[in-house]
Amino acid sequence: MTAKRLQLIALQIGFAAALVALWWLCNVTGLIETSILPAVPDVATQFFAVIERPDFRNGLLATILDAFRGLACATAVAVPLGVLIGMFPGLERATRVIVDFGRSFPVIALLPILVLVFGATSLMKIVAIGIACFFPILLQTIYGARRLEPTIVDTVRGYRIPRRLRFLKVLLPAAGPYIATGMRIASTVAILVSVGVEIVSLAPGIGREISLSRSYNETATAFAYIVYAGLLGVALTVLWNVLEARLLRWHLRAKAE
Amino acid sequence: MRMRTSGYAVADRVLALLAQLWLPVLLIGLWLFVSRDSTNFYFPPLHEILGVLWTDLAKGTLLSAIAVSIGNVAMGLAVAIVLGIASGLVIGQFEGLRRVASPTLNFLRAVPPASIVPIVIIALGVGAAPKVFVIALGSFWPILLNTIDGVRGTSAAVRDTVRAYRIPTPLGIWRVSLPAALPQIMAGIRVALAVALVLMVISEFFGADSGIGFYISDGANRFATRQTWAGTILVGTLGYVLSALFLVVERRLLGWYFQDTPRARHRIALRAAGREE
Amino acid sequence: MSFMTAKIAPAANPLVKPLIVEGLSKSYGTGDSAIKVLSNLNLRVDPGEIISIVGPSGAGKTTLLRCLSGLLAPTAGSVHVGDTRVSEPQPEIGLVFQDYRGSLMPWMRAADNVAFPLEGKGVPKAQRLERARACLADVGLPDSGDRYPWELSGGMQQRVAIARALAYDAHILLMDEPFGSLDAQTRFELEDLVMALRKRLRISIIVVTHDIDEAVYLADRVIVLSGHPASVIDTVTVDLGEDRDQIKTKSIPRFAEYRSRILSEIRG
Repeated sequence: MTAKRLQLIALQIGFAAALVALWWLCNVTGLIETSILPAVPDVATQFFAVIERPDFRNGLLATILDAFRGLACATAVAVPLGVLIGMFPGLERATRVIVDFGRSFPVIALLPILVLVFGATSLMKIVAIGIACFFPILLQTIYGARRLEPTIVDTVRGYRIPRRLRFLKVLLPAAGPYIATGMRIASTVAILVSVGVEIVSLAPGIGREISLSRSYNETATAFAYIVYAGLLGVALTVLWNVLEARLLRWHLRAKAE
Repeated sequence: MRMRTSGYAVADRVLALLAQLWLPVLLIGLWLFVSRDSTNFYFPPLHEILGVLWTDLAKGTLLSAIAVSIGNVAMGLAVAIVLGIASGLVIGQFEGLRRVASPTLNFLRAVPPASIVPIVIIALGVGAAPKVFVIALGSFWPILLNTIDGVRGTSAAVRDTVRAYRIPTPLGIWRVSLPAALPQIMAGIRVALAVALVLMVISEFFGADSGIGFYISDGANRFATRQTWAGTILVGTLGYVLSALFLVVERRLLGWYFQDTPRARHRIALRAAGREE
Repeated sequence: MSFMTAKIAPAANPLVKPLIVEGLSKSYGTGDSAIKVLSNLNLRVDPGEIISIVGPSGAGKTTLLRCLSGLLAPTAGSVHVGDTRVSEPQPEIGLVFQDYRGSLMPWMRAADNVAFPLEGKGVPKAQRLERARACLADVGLPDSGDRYPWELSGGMQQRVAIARALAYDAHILLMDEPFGSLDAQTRFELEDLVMALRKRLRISIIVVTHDIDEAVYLADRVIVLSGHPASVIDTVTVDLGEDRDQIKTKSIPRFAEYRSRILSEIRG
């Protein structure tokens, strides 16, 4: 590790530390009351203390698993549908309004109805997450399916390659990078929606812990959980960067040319 | 060059509209029909839902709720846009600053914006200010990050020009970096709009006093499912309308970016045909 | 003051200073993996000269130009404009890029683009727009001030870029393969424009190009760059007079001699 890199890391830590110092200043001067911005040491303590709790592990697991399940369901429906829509311009035009409506729809508004129907359960969460993830994946898949290189299309037609093979071996791989982008976006949405739903409905998950701690006036604990939620998001981004670097090497190389 | 075709052009557009509308209209009609005699508590007949919607709109209560909600979103977004663009322009301009701040910013933006709501609303109570604060806080991040990306993405030729001609930094940020980043900034505002809508709803769930979110949760609490559905449909429509409006604004602002505007095409065509306007 | 409005072209422009390059070297990276691009270049451009710099692609011509303009710091050696050392972009140096489409701001009209460096200097609006329109007229675009760059052809855009350098009161014009992406006819027009500007304003012009014909046609001297790392392998003095013509000059036997000499040197 070179000196320059070490210096950069030091500065980055310094920047974060400066913000924490600002936070601490707000505590000490009473500028922002501790019910909104709890004391730094309290949050730090709670950050390590909550790991011991069974709620922590269960909550984290619930958030991640439900997000994953919702994502999986959404993918299973959105990808085939998206490819289909992308292949037929008439279908794309017909579904445009619906898709536009769906993508700008805040799924959280459905929550009261979902809670009425399913209760504050994991199933309800999965339904909500599924709906929320469906549209980004659908959109990207449609986009990818539409963007097939004209030369590939002509080649396939020129060699009279049968429809099923065309679908599996040409369309899907070509649309692959776009589907991957859709999944990346959707996975972030999945976590955010999962936490959001948990906060509002108190269904099991990190969000519930955040909400509950706050209502018990344990704001520091709530903050600690919020930090973990943020770390979860960061972990997801890192995971995707690693995955993308490996799986999409050919696409990136092609793009660079 | 295109003919002055009023007749054909209109027919074309009508057909294009029909091609896009037949399926949604069909599905709504289907929903109306299938739910006509529904006695299901959770899925009341669509025409009754729409009836409640209409009644409450006519009464005026729902209109004021809409006004409140849109007002909160507008104010929250306005704050987020101003602060987000301003800080984004500065951070994007100075590469050193950006690299130092990057991990912290990436962490902060990964925090689910919804998680701030209980903290703020419970502490600051009901009223517009806490909601605006929450909306602004959540909408800030996509705008900030997209602005930074936009500034960084300014082409090398443009950046070289600014350096070669010794343009002072403030002028460079205002007249070069900002316009150059504008397409990316608009993309960020689009995302921020979606976030703002979500936070609007959630903050109105929590700070249950006014707004469409309150209308929905109130309906759910009183088991008035028609009202709940009505509010949900309303939010969806609101989201759709706001997104469409935003697209119009984006097109106008980025006229130079979407170079291929009809007016420009017309003018270039005229010139090619040997006539000037 | 404005030498734009002078009726009789002065024999020399007293404001134009010589450009002196001494021992210029540029390497990228450090230690064992360092790549040396330029090696010990020496060069002098006297006031009012047109210099062409030719060399094969990738020879480091653009790197050289960036060092001359102050955009890039040399690893060794120096660049001076008169007595001032060039360590950052200078007010006397105007740069015209290869990528004209990229260097004009698409959200500004042509006149605003030309006036922009003046805006940077704090010149008031009416004044700078007037100057911009005058410069646009000088490059043959008197009516294009209100157009946006994307409404103009490639050749016109490049003229706007040149007008901008003139408005900036540049005494030394550095042009990086300015006409490479234009069609032949436009290229000839712009080459003649460059020479007309030198004749009228007596500014120094340095043109980097891979087109040997262009290099010989334009220049008083041709600097031939070659090798890895690049160094000056020859300086050809082009003795074809100051008034040149696309057809006549290129038919002179000496023109062909210069051309073959340079070509064989580049081929190595």
